Amino acid sequence: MVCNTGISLIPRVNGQNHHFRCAGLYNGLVLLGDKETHSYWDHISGECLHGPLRGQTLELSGSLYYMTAKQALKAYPDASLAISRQSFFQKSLSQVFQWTSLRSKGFIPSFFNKTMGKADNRLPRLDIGLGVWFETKARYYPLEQLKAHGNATIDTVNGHRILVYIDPISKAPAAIHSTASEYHWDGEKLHLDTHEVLKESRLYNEQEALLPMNRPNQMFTRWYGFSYTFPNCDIYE
Amino acid sequence: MSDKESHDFFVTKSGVVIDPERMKFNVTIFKPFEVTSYQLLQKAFADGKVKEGTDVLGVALPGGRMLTLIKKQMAYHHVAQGELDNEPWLISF
Repeated sequence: MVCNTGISLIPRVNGQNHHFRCAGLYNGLVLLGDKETHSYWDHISGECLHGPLRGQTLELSGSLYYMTAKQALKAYPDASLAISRQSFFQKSLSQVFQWTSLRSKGFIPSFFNKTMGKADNRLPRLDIGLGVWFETKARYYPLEQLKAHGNATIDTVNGHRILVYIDPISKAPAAIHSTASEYHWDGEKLHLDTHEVLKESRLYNEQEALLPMNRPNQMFTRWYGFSYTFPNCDIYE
Repeated sequence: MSDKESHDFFVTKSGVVIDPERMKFNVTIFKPFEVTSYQLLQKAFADGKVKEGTDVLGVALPGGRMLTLIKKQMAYHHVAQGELDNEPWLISF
């Protein structure tokens, strides 16, 4: 949708696999629907909002990585790819929706408005940034604010220390857990005072050995999507 | 339960008050991507199916595998689902 927020969930309810599709809209955000019960689910939190399974929650599997194919190939040489065989109509719609994806300019279709409640006007609705959350504590990092801080920042959310940065290749913001206090850029490499280096979407130590990247829950999103999902979230300044 | 039957509010874990009256139901325009086959990204790259600059969405699946999908395709499907290494997965976008 306009928000283009993505997340990965485990499609299992009470031990059974359910099958989902984009079935509805609420607050201008996609609602998932499952074929088995016709319940409607929040596509970010995985909570069932309406229908027989209301109150159930799909387990969050992880956040999405925004990469170019070249980046993905270099960082994850064994990665798998799934390609959809789209019809002409589907390809055309893909093109249209791709165009409206996370760009600084955008618009909200008029029929979205009927689904939207009172907006959080602290930021423009279509502002883009990274939303990070721990349990019910959430913080939004406006992309422009991150740029103003030199494309990276070290922050603490709900007691969790995180590094938030803009990937120099994909231009998408991302966050990882980190114990670093300081950082500096060297071209496309982000050096941390923990003697770690973030480059080409991966984290390395001084000996160039690959380190695991522990990522908090996060999504690259528009402000309206994040603020509707996490009311009263903080905004990084 | 019909879509319009329930007018009762629901509060999510993050405190969002859900009003079913504002929900839009039965959106059918977007067909989910039901994934039944995979290929190595490396091979797709070598075969010219994806280019260097193609934007992809990656997800680290519970089994440890990195799965990628073409972002442009997901802008239409919004939902992709499948199983890899016997682990069911779902991506919403």
